[in-house]
Amino acid sequence: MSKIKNLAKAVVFLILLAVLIHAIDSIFTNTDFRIYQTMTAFYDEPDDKLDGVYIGSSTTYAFWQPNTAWDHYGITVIPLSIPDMPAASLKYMIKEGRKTQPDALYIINLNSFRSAVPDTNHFHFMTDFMKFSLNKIDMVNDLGKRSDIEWYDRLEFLFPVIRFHSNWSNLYKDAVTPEPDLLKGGVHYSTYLSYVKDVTGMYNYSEETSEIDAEKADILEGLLSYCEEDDVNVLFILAPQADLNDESHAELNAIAKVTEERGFPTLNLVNKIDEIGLDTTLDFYNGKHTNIHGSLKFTKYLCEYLTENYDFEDKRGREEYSDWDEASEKYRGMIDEYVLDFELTDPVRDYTLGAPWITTTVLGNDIALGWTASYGADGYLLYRKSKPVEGGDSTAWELVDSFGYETLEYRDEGLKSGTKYTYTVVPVKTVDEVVNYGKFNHVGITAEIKAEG
Amino acid sequence: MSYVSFEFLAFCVAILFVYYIFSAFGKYGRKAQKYVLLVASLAFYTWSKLYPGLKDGFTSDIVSGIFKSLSGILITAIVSFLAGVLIGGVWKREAKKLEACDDKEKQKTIKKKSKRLARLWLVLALLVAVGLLAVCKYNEFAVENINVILDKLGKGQLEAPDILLPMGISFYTFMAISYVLDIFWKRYDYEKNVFAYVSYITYFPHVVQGPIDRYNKFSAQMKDGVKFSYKNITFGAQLALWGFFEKLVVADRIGIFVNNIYGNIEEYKGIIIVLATVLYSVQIYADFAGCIDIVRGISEMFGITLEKNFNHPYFAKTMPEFWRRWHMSLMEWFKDYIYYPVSTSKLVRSVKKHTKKNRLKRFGELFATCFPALIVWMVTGIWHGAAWNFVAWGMFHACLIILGNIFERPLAALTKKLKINVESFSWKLWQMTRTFVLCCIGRVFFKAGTVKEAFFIFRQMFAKVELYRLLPAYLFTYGLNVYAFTVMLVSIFILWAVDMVEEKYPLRETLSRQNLVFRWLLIYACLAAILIFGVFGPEFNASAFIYEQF
Repeated sequence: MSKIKNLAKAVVFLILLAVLIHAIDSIFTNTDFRIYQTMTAFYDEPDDKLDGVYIGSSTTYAFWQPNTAWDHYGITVIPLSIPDMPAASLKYMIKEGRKTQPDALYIINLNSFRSAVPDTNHFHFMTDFMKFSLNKIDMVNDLGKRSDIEWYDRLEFLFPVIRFHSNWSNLYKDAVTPEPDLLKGGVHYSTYLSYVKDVTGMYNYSEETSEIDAEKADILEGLLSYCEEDDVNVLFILAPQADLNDESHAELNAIAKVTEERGFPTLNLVNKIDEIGLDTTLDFYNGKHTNIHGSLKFTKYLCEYLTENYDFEDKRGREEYSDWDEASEKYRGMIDEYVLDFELTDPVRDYTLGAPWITTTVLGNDIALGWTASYGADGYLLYRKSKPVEGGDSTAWELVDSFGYETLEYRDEGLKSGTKYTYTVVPVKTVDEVVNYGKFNHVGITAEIKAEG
Repeated sequence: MSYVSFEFLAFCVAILFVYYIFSAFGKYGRKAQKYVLLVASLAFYTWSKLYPGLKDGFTSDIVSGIFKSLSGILITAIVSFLAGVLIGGVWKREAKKLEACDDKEKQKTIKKKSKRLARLWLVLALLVAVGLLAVCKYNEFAVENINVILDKLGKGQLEAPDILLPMGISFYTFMAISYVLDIFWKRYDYEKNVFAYVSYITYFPHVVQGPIDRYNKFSAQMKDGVKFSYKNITFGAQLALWGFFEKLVVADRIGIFVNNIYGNIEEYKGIIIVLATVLYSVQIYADFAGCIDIVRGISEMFGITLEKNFNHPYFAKTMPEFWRRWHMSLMEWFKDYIYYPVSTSKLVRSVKKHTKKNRLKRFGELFATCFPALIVWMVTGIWHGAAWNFVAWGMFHACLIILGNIFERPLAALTKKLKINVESFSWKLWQMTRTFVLCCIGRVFFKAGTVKEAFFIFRQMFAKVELYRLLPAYLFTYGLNVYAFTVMLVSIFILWAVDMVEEKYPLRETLSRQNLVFRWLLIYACLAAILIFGVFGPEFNASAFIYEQF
């Protein structure tokens, strides 16, 4: 009897110990809450509710806007993505997804094959917010073995407190665990929203293929075999990154070729940026990622493909999907100071209309604007947003006025003191009564009306 | 494999599991447990070579590496075992012969002959064991010093042979010596099972840093094996947990501060070095006692109680008392195998005899106590490390003990004359503080790399006061910020409080009588403190135990 009692005591002790460790673990987990939000968005979704799960590195969430897809097509595809997610973890992420969404389409970003295994930081990104399960243990072991990490050093990926406990003296400064942002994986970090980088010079168009690195070939084989054996509904995508050099581009092309030859639907989009409508001068925030303007275009392009090729129903208006409406509305509110209203509709674009060059002159409480003509434009739309100099929220972009092609200046009068005003001008051309929108300065030009006194 | 690693914890769990599976097979299963420990200990000892072999296959390099790393310890173990068999055999034959012989003269001859033969085996065994220790540990030190002399004589220099220092050589050699001497002195019967004996020498909880156990006590616990006991497991785990607290929370955090000061000693003067030295004394205690508590706890889980090594040494009121409380198994060893033999040697006896009847009687008494102490402290110093600073440290303590002996009576008379109440708390506190301060002074020799460096540290210590370094703007810049410093102080307080309670009550037994909720809360609090405040993991690179180097 005492043996049973002791055994019961030991079991209860160990269970409480596990709870304690888990509690401490969650307090000390790394503080990259962008990953927390993305992972939470996926885990919070009820079983069998998603049309698709988009798995991959940052190339996934910086290209795919789940809320835009919902707004325009009523489809539910959430990114299950982590910065620099390496190829070796793709299989485990699909398994993680299929636990709750077994019938969803798994869109796999082949750009993850740029690296086979993660470095220590990205290994933590992978595991810190992933729920504890056998699948997680398998992934940690596989990635650990491939990275030559001994089993006892892999423990830090299952119990992050081992690495992060030294951060105890900073705990009071950081929010312990933030509230989920309920944005369905829609991202809103500042570089993505407000940076523009001209990547025209570095963009590498190539159809070349090369031999695949042995480690990556092994990972690819494991991934494809798993998809075949478990009959995973999968779509492979190679997203258009600008910083691919000849070598890595050729290898990724070869990988995309293998997936296609094995009978998996595959979209190699690196050479299709014109088809997508991406502008290399304005739609990227760095060589690897599109900014919000580029991602809206990419999302619409992919939505077209998905709705054409898959039997996805438009679920807008259904009560059980009201959370998607709320997320979408919230997200629009967060990005309205970065994108113009027409970008959120389904505009026709004419990239032959170049972005006008804008100048500003402050005249008391007025700002005199001038812009260069855009060849072929038959009119211009002037947008403005403002923000107090002392700090605070910016207003959304709002349309000030529209002008004919002959008007290249405007005086914005009676403006508030102590306020920064930002302007952008969009050239337009009407063809068959349809407005075609040209290129425009995504960041805009800012002028400041100084505070009185 | 470090004692402070997940690898070691997993190793212990696996071995415990197998160990107690054997106990389920009755008497024979339990008798086989010693073989489980032997295999486990050999695996532990050769782990750095064995593990790559287990993982990637055994190449000839790995196999030869395993044999190489085992050679030192196995030679000492087998030679001391054989010496035990031979000496024990001599004593057995002697006993038989004496039984068969009534003639006292003949008995004397038998005894003389037996003793001569036994002594021969003893000397041979000691030569091998001590010789190996000397060659492995002191060859570089010897060559270095010979080279100094050769240099002065204008002769060429010698080159030290590249010999691998076997892990725990200072500890297992002393255990082997104690066994052979005990057999020689007929303290107990010799061991006939070589595996049982080798499992004692190589026993993984004590092979790296001790405690220096005695074979008779060890084998008595192992003889019939160990039945699974819930108490052994829980008591052992609790002790090990406390050991982890001492090591990871107390010692290693202090270590950050101490290393910061001592690592840049030329930049500092005065009070901050004093503080670092005081803290170093606490660190070395928490580090070593922590390690011993870990291994004693683990061993207790195997049903084997190891020698106690610490008895709250900083509560000692005199230096001799300190050494009865600090590294007790080593000091007991020195007492039994060096101090007593020297103090009963012909030389000491004859000095005592010749000074007995004249005015030199007091000198004779002092010589009888001080001379063995001097020898013990010389050996203690050199045992701790092949360097002159350790010798100086030993000599410092020898001086303290000898001066203590010389002035014992005059000081007692003086305190009486001054009407000092030696039973009062204030006097005891003064005594404890004095002992601690003397101990701290000795630590400077211990911590410094050389004697020259030790004197440099003393010079820096007394060159200026630099009190401003204790101001927050400075104090929290030596590796520990204000929070870490606070955690350090609190953890030292906990260590002190636990020692204080233990000094008066049997803490573990008292705790075991408390309600389960209270006990578990304490355990979880200790675990949480280690998890959160412990200096371990990839951000820290947990430091090695200080006593591992000996």
